[in-house]
Amino acid sequence: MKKRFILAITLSILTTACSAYAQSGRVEPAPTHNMHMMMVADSNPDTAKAVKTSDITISNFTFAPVKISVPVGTKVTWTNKDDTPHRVMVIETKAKSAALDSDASFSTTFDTPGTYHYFCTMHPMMKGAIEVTAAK
Amino acid sequence: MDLEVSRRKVMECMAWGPGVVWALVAGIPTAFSMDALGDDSAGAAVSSFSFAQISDSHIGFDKAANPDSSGTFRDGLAILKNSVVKPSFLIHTGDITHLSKAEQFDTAAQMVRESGFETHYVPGEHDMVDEDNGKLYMDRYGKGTKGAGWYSFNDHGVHFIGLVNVVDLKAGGMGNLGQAQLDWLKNDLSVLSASTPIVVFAHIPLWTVYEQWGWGTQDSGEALSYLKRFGSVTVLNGHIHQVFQKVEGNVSFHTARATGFAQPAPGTAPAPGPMVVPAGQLKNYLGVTTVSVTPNQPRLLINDATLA
Ligand SMILES: [Cu+2]
Repeated sequence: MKKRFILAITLSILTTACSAYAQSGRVEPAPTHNMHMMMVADSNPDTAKAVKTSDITISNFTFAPVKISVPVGTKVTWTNKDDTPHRVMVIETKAKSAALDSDASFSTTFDTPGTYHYFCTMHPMMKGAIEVTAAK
Repeated sequence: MDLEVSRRKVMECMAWGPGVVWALVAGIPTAFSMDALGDDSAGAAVSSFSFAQISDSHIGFDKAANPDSSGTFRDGLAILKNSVVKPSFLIHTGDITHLSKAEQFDTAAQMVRESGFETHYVPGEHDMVDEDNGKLYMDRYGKGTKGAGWYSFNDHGVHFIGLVNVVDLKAGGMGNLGQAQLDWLKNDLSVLSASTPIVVFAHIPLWTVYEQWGWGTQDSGEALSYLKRFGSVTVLNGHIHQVFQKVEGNVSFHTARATGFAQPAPGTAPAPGPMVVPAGQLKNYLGVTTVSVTPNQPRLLINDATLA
């Protein structure tokens, strides 16, 4: 819990221009927030350990696992293993990846419990869901 | 020139064309309502000509399914340029680029410029994935268009309509035209007489080829309802990288081969996407399409040529 508290402070310092993480209510991470998040994870080994992660693979025009349940604060990463691009968009947060070429990844962190739905904006038949559970 | 003569002429091209294999779209039912096109004066406005469709060049793609998508695009353009009856202009039905990169658009534009063809474009979903969601495409090809890039123009008495069904796609859905475009289409068609031949082109098929793979447009039925009163409607699409055709009333649907890479036939693979074909076979899977218009002939003559 202490590490997560430190992470939260670090984040709020790094994202002072963006109030989303400082608020406890609705969180709408934009790409700039994600950049901050990755900076924290990459540049500070101590706080990086506190970041929970979950991976989703894109293969054969399918997200796998197609449904996940993760604790609040989890950084979810999608990696494209197809030889054609896909583009992930989370409907509720509007977090949107670039067009992911083969082996490219996109990450976004879910800081509010709830059920999130995402899809590929290029191939909208491709859908998935993420259940974000409250911290115990 | 009647249809049979046209066909014979095309068959002759086999002898003279640069290794072009003509796969004729023959034997499709030719029943149509003549009352819509029986008016001589309306028919006289249409003059004989041909145009070509090139599609899914995916410039920038370099994976196993085709390491040289620029080379095969150039091959497609060369076949059209060297054909016996040179097309008046080209229609590119989208996925010009693979990743909407400026240099990919530049490469495609440069090759089209070298071919000398006037070219009309509609975007594919691969052309709208720059960080500004289509700005690069619109900067280059959006002048004089409405909304996300749709437009119409007249040539040789034929009314051409370029539609965009690759933006603002809805989760779980297929291609999407959207209400603003449908309203525009309805209005665009409202001033035309029913005898005007119509050619509609868009990237994703405007008919459902294979729903499991999203090969269709969810609100195309509404668009097609506006076209019912016309005696000659030809719908040209890309996206699926293979030839499919269907005739429904006065409407002929046709999808073109790609120049970029092959894709599997519906349901024959776990997913759509680039398909690696046996060595030496690639050019049998890639191709371009020519369309010939003849006065008083509601069914346009569509020819699919492979790059082989
Ligand atoms: Cu996709």
